[in-house]
Amino acid sequence: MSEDVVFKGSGQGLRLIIKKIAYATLEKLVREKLDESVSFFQSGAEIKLQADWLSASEKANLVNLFSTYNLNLLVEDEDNTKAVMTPFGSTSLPQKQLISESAYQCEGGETDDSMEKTLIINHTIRNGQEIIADGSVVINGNVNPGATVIAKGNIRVNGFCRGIVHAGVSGDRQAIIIANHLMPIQIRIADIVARAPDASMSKADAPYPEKAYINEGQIFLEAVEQKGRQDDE
Amino acid sequence: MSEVIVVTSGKGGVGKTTTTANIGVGLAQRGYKVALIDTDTGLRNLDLILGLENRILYDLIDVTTKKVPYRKALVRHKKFSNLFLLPTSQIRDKSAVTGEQLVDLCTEMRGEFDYIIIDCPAGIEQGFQTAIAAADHAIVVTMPEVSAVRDADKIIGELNRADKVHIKLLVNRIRPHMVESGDMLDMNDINDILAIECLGQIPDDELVVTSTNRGEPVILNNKSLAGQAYVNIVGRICGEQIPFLELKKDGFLHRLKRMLHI
Repeated sequence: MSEDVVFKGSGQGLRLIIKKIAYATLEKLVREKLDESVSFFQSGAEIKLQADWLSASEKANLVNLFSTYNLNLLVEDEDNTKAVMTPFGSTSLPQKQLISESAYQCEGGETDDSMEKTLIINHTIRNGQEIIADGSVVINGNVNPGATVIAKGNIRVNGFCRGIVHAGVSGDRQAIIIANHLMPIQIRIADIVARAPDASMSKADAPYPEKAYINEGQIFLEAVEQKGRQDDE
Repeated sequence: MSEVIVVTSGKGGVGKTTTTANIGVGLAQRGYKVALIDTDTGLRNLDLILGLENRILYDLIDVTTKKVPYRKALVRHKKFSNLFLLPTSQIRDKSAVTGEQLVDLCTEMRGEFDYIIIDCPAGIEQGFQTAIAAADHAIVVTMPEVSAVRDADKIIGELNRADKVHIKLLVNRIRPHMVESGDMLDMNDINDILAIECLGQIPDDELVVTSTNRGEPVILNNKSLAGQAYVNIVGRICGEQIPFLELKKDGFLHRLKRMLHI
């Protein structure tokens, strides 16, 4: 039901994607979605609207609605709504979108299953880049210092994690973060923040995969059991 | 088959312009026809390092605004008749040239030159975007220093975003004795973060400063270790397999000799 209205992060920033439904229902859904996730957005954040079928006045209404939450809704004319609706894993993504998002290649938002939305990123996230995911995220690459990964669900880094990682951003304290080499500047899970020691960390400080989770209001790190698999270093 | 290479870094003062000048001279020494384009409008330096300031008549802005054809603005090098500089304006600012204009210019120049090397300004703003627009290859210059590596990482991300995939790293101003004592990042630390192919490692060398002030790129000084490193880098750009220089801690005698330039 609520999958008719989806927020999605990508290289171009945040987008609001709306399926073709009656406007009255839609406005209600958007309102619910905003109420539930307003803390997820920074005040003044810009969100692009992708729903070409809406009339100009309906779009204007939505823009007004967003401004009451201190958010900017940008009305976009581009017609790639269809592509975005395609569930992750499908190969029918148009080339254009793949190229335009190649820096981040954020893809996810499985629209027909509300349980699992996993964003898979197959490259290193570099300084200054930010990944925002509406579900869990898997990064097959490093998260470099100065990079940020924010997810509503869990975060898995198959590589070095040296940036800022924030899992369970909408308040899920069950969220976890796993990295092959977990040495981030900050780990945030839900509303809890832990920072790296002041002394600079080296590879030797995180030689094996670790998991970060919340226990009794604190973030703990724990070695991840290796099941017959050698560290891929 | 001409190649357009942009030399960039993000952070200022790591040696973009010095690198541009030295690679340009090195390629010209090998007989290639080379053009160097300075895009650091308003803060131009490449002409100084090459010792060509007194020969400038027209600049990049005159060319991109179609006031003069590019051949009129090119300044021929004193020693190498196949090396040319296209200086930029010292009066205007970065907004005076756009990426499209530079792409058009390079397309026009490709027919005449084997290598076109673009010296990029520091930063990631419009000047950077303009400078990289026309490039086939990018050389990211950095230093073994946390902030310079951080900025190089950002620049690589920006280059990827602009669909530039041929990116190589050049690590400048390495102080072997500091690396050895653990006071300076070593190549492994840098590779861990940046993870791109390394084109060369250049030791910190006082002769670079002297040669910059004299307007004679250090690559022409065969007593300089940095000059030697640049010779090797030029070889690698031409596709040769050259092992990296051994940047070991110098013996006392060696250091004394270097200080006395013998």
